Amino acid sequence: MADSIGIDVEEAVSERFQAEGLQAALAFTSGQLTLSIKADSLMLPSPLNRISQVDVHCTVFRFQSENWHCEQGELAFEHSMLGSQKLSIELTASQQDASFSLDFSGLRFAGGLWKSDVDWQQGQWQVAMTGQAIDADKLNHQMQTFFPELLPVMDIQGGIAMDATIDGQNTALQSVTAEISIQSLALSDADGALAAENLSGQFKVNASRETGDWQWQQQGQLNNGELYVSPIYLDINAYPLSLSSRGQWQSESNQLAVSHWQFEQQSVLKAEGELTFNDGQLAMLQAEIASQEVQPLYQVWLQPFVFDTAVDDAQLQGDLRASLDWQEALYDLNLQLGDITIEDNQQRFDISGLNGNLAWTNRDDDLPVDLSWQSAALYQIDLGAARLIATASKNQLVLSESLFLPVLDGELQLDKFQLFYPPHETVSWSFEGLLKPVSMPVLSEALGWPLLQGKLSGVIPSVSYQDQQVDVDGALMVKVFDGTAVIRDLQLIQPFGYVPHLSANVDIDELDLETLTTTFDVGRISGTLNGYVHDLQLANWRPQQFDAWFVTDENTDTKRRISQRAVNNLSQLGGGPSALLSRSFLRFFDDFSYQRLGLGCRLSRGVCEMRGVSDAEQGYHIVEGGGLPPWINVIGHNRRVDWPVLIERLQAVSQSDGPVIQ
Amino acid sequence: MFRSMSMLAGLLLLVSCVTINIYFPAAAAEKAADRIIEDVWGTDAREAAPAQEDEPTGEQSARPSTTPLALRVLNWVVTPAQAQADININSPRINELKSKMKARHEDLKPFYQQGAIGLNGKGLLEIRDADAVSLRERSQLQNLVKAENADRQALYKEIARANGQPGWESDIQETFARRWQQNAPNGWWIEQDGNWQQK
Repeated sequence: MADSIGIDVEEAVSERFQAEGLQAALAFTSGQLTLSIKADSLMLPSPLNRISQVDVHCTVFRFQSENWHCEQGELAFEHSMLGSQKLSIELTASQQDASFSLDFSGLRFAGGLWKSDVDWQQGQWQVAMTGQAIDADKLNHQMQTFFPELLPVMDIQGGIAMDATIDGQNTALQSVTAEISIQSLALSDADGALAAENLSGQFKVNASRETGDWQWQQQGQLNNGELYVSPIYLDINAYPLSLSSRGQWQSESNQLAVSHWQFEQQSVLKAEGELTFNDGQLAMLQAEIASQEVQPLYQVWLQPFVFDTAVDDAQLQGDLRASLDWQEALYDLNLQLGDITIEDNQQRFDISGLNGNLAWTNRDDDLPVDLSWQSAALYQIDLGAARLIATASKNQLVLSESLFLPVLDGELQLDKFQLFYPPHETVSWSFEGLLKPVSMPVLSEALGWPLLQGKLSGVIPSVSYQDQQVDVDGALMVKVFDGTAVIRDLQLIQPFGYVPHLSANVDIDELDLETLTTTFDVGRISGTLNGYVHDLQLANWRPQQFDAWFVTDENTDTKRRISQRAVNNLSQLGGGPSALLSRSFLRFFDDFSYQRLGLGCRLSRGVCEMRGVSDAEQGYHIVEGGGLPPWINVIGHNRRVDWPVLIERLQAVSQSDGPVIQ
Repeated sequence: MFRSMSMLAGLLLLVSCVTINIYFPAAAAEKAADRIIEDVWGTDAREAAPAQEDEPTGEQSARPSTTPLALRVLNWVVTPAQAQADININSPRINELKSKMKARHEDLKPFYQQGAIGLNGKGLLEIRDADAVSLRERSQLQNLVKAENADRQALYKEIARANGQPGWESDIQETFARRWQQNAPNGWWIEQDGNWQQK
């Protein structure tokens, strides 16, 4: 037999909880009180809002000295987002000391199981909650429905577990302690700029509030997986990450001060420092960074930003320490380089044994720069050890002492080197200098040219680089073949680009033809040669256009003789294998005398417009005979020659064994 | 009187409309584009159909259907010599852009094949499915597409400039947009009328 007492409390609580159809029933069964409360619907604070079909059942209900106990209880309800729920609950409420405690477990939310202990006493409360095997995708969707504007839309998958304790008084939060771990998390946003795969890690935070300000400390690490935050790719399997910080947030002034942060990317870098945000804006950042191995540092943090530049494909060794002091957009950056080697994989440059201190600032401060290196190379040209002493200030680097850079067996002396790199603009630099003689045999060997004699030297009034273009003012003088070649208006565009452009004007004066022809092994011509190559344009080191003219000097006393083989070769250039040389008795002579020799080519659009010393019937004279017999005329017939054809002929000339005269 | 005037005006308008189209040597531009595309893509371009395609059907494209008419009018109005205007694609800058794009193509090729990128209707590359690419390669992909598109824009501009007709840039870009898509081998993705489809 069971007695039951129906209590109609609808009116008593309906105003406060906005409950509808509230019914409570106490029953006395086998020596125990049981309590049942039902409500058709109940309004709870946002974001839960309305729950319906509420059914509370306490298997053991005790009520003694104004204390209520509900043991082995069950709570069932329906909720539009949480669905149909059935929880185990334990509830204690004391009217005497105005407290209650609610423990529940078995809440199904976001694919996981949740339990929670809630304690409340005179406005002081604590919620401890644990969620296991939470499905990140479902959690994301649930959170989207609860807080539609808070979270960005993204695909997310994986498991989450969390353990949190929140303390508060009335409506104010006092402290939060949380431990969250993620397992095999994958996520991607709509445009693929943020993505993660198989990410695992832990995150701990502890925050508490004292008189309006929050103090926190946090520690997090990612141990496995991959992360892409455009344009940075982080291979966490290879380089696990950890980040810890502590600091405070002043809610009134909206100032976030991180008194210490530490970031470590295993085997790549360690960084620590402090920072401040005012109103969501970075106001101060101080960082000390150390990297024992610069190669992964370069690959992870630098390479994505230097794509398509000269330094986007290099191999690095050595170590690096850096310190950054940034305040309200003004900063000092100091780098300590430890025996760094940089090698371009495309063999455009390398430098090794790089040591010292490099600095950069946009402040007025003068920061010292002292860099030295053991060796370097630019393309195939070896550059030796040098030391650079300079001062960095206001987006500039200015050389304080002359720099002596060995170039092959010569030396480039740089004075007044100045590098300027203002924000939002491209880098530019300039210097004045002196090229102390580099011997041509060494240079020609380095460049894979035929062995040239002589020396290269020059005074360089000004070299400047701006918008990927190097301009050389003044003249470079090359002493070759006992004469001189003077290079003016030298300009290099995108020297490290896919297709470097070079333009220049070259004038040559009194070259000794005999030395020249012997060097190139094209027969023998004696005499003195003058001429020029004007408007020279090279793209990818190949001629695109020029106007060249070479002619022998008639005013010198030198003998003017030309050998059979040279005649034959010249005639080949002039447009036909047999321009020439009557094949009869002339072949009995080794060489001939000539009056004038000259050949010009104006290259444009792949066609070489040829010219000689004077017009001839059906062509032009390349060689005009004169002097003591036997003398000879060489006539070119083709005025327009395809440049590739001419190159073929030139190659044939340099490879030919000698004249073939029948 | 007034009617004949307005008819004349209308005719002038018509002719002037047509003339704008006419002066851009569409056929020569297509050939020029094909030559550049073949240089850049190498053997990948050769599997494709030849330049003179069948008339595109109905609503797919309204633009090329005017060309044959325009050419007929052109041959009648202007001397054929002018109509045979050639497109010069031999400036150092064009060669430079071409060799950059050719070098880059080797890196882009797997992304075309995976369907991560496709050829859009503007003659540019577009990342259509970043998820097809491993996270490790994402940054490279983004940089490649950015660099390629910068070079393509520069190429269209430079061809117009090298031919002394800066105003042709958009016509050249349109021509290239069609020719990249036509020359693309099977399996690559192309965008037509805003929809991506696999060839």
